[in-house]
Amino acid sequence: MHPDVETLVRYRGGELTRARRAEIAVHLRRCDACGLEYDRLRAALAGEPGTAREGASLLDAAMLAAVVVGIQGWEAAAAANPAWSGDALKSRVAARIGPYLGARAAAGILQPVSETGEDLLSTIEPVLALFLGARAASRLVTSVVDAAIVRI
Amino acid sequence: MPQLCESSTVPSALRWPFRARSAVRLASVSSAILLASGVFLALGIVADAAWLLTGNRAWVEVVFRVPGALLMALLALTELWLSVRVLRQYSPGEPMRTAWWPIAFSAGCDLAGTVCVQVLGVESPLNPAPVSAASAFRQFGLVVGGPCRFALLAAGLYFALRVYRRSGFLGRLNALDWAVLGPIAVYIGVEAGGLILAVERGKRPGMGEALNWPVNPLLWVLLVEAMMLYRSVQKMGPGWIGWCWKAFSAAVFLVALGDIGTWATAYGYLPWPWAAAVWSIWVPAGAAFALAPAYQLQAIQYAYSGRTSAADAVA
Repeated sequence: MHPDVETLVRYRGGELTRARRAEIAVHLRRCDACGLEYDRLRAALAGEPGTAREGASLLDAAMLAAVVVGIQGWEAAAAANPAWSGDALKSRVAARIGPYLGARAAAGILQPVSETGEDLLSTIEPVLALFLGARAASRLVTSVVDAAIVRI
Repeated sequence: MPQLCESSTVPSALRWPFRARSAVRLASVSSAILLASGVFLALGIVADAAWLLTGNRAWVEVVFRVPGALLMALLALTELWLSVRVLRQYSPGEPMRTAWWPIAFSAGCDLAGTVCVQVLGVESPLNPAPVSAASAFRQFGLVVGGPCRFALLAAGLYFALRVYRRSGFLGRLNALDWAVLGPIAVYIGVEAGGLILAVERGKRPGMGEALNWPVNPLLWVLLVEAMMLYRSVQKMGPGWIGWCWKAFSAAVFLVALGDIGTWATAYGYLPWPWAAAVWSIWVPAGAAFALAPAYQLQAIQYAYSGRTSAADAVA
């Protein structure tokens, strides 16, 4: 199983358990694609040119870094600003996924999401992936995070 | 969660606008399907009116035999093309891929059946085959486009319903649904009993006839699935994903209606001016079958571009 972006960011930040870190480290040594992506991510987060050859991929990584920074900023601000969490967050996310799943389904999926929104992505992505496929769902979730969380 | 090895092959900065343009093109395809079907139905009404006024049946035959056959074949081809494209959007092991495999095969059967029945199985300017072979083509087309296609479609819709159940949005049939399905089930049961009795009394059916026996039970199964899908979509509320399954539901309902109409015509319950309307049912049914994968693909393309409205996708 390839690690996702969020896991790699946490790996870089030292936020994972020791066992998980060891698992990711082994995978990065064995999987060229993930290794390359991790290099790009690391370079983008550190503000360095990195090892990526494609300009577009660098753009991608830079955008990702902006998303990550945005999430971190949002997490810090959420505690102080109640409008950024709870019902307000759910309503913004529902507005993004409702046109795909239907308004009632969006409300139903988001109902069990916690007030802090920490389980938001792990709740909505599996349902979207069931209907749209994992690749399309992952793109949609990225844009939902961007529009409903980062740009607020 | 995004899988890096899958998404890193094409830079997303390049892919997203491309996906948005694809979504716009698909919206044009679905509009074209609706427009072509609408134009043909209008033509059919004009031909029906001309037939009633002049008493010349050639008006109707010309419209349905050439443009009608071409449109049906084109719709079946579009259905197959779009179903294969939808299938390719899912990775191996994904539940919807399991559903779209049989649906794509059923679309292939639909195309083969339509070409055999509408083109090769009739005396028509479109038919390049010898007239002597028409009956064999028609028989083959009825089997491929009937029980084979319906069995595959029933399997596909069953897997789609499993996805709805897994997501927690599987709808339930209500009393009205059972009120429709109940009498049809009784009729199919009576018909099956009659067949068994006839065989016991020495009737020797031809292979073509015997192979077409499962059509009505399969249509009933499809109706149950279509109604459950419709209720599931209702449970979720209107959304792009639901359009696809609503289109399948409408298509199955129209096919069932056409089948009942054909039966009523054959047994003399439907007089001729109304019987012509039955011919027209197959066009919207074919259009709905073609629209279903178009809507599914559109939803996937919108997801890639992250849009929340069709207008956004154009922008």
